Amino acid sequence: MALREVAVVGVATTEQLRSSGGRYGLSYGLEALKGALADAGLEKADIQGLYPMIDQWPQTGEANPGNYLHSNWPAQLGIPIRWFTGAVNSGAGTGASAILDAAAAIAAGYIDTAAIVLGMAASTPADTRTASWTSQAIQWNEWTGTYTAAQFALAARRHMHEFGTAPEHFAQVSATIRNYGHLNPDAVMYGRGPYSVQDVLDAPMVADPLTRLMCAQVNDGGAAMILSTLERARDLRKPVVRVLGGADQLSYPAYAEPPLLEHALGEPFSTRWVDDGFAMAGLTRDDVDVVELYDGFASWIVMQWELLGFCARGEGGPFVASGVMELDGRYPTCTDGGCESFSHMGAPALLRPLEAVRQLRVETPDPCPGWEQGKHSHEPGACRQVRDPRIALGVSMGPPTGGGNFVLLARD
Amino acid sequence: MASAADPPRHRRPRPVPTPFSAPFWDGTRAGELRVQRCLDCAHWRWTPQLACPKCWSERYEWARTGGRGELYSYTVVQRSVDPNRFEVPYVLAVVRLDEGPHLLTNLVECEPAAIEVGMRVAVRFERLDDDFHVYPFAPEGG
Repeated sequence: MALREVAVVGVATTEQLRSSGGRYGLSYGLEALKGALADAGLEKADIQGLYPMIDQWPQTGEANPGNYLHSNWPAQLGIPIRWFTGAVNSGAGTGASAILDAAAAIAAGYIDTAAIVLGMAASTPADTRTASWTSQAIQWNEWTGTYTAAQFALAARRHMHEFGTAPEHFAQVSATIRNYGHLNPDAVMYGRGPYSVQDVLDAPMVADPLTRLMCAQVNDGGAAMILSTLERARDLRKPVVRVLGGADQLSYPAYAEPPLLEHALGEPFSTRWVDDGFAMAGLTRDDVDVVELYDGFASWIVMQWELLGFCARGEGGPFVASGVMELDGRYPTCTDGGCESFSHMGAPALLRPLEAVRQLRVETPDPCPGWEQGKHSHEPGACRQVRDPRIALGVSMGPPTGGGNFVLLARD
Repeated sequence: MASAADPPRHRRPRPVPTPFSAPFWDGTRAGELRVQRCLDCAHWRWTPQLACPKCWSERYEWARTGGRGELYSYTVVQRSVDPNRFEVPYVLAVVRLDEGPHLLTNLVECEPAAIEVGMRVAVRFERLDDDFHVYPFAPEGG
């Protein structure tokens, strides 16, 4: 089979908000899917492949239809589906791994057009417990009172012990990312900043060393992305964003294992899987203009720079302290405000590469008066659009025990 | 922090064992911390798996550990996963057993200021009811 080149042709996000007020996850997913089709200038009949993650499906027939009802999608959408996966890879399902899956199916010629759809309406807790997805009924864990923030805190503490990483490093990550979100009118936390490193350190402690401002928020919302062949993309209405390559590596299951640093960083530690993804794209790390990491927790960003081979093992703290993630830094990072400020709807992995697409298209709402025409000041603290980006890295890395995936995107 | 004489601070969820894991909980009830050990290559493994991740042998035993090890990492939790069940602050920990495996657990009987990564710890079984004892750790010799 001759492989075909693949491009992102449509993206959309719904409003991201603290509580959905009874709306179904499916409803957010459908709204986002309609938006992405409109963005692409495509019709629903164009969709052949589907990569969904929906946290609530209405009980229209069965008492307990479950969350990922494969067979009901054609009935709901009114179209046949020729290629379907549940996208259960690492990084919470519908992130970079779904883009890689869809791109593989399109490149191989099984389908021409695929949709990734995400809709989450059950993220915001209804009582004093942490969000439902933050802890699991695993017999080795549940009795300890563990949940996501504590699991990441354990890995963070060990990183501090082994490498001298400091809470200030984590705080700088969050201040930088949240200050992008402060400028993003679509962010749940729009206008809440700006934040200093000290503001982040002074926030209430969740699980030391992680303060509340070092942790992702919890909210609801939807998102969707449409992919097709590069040939088709060049006939459509939006600037073409090519999928050049990427990689996926599964490690240990999410939140089931003790969060060992050795597992987070790979055992034995190697960036071979990342190197392979860059080689596939014909790129090096030096080529990257904008980076969208998965900032579920600030400490995890420090480690992701190491996992991805942008700095040596153990040097993630000084690396972020150098200001590398700022708009005028070498790798502006999480430019929409990330999971901490833009949106973390339970399993929001798609949002990271989706922001990479918006950066490459220069479609980023911010305080710049001409943003709708793509005119930006590129002034740190007043703008969040990277100047003339050509290559973007979108990363989905969920649990602290490692595993993750990434995609390299390029403006055509 | 609670001492052994204090009433339990938490209303911990009861573990839900499977036929596969029952020997582990039988062990804690009998005052033993048991971990799977491969009968072919002698590798100790946690969390439980059908086959040994080193040699893929499915022959194993639930072997008694010494219940001692060192503190690999910890966090003092200030935001409870469920305020109706867990009273803050509580200390979540990872312990590296002397036999090699790492366990997720709680550290008890230790002031937060006195906790250090690398400190020696030993298991302190905590009775939930007639069927279940969980396995927090405390400073060794404390």
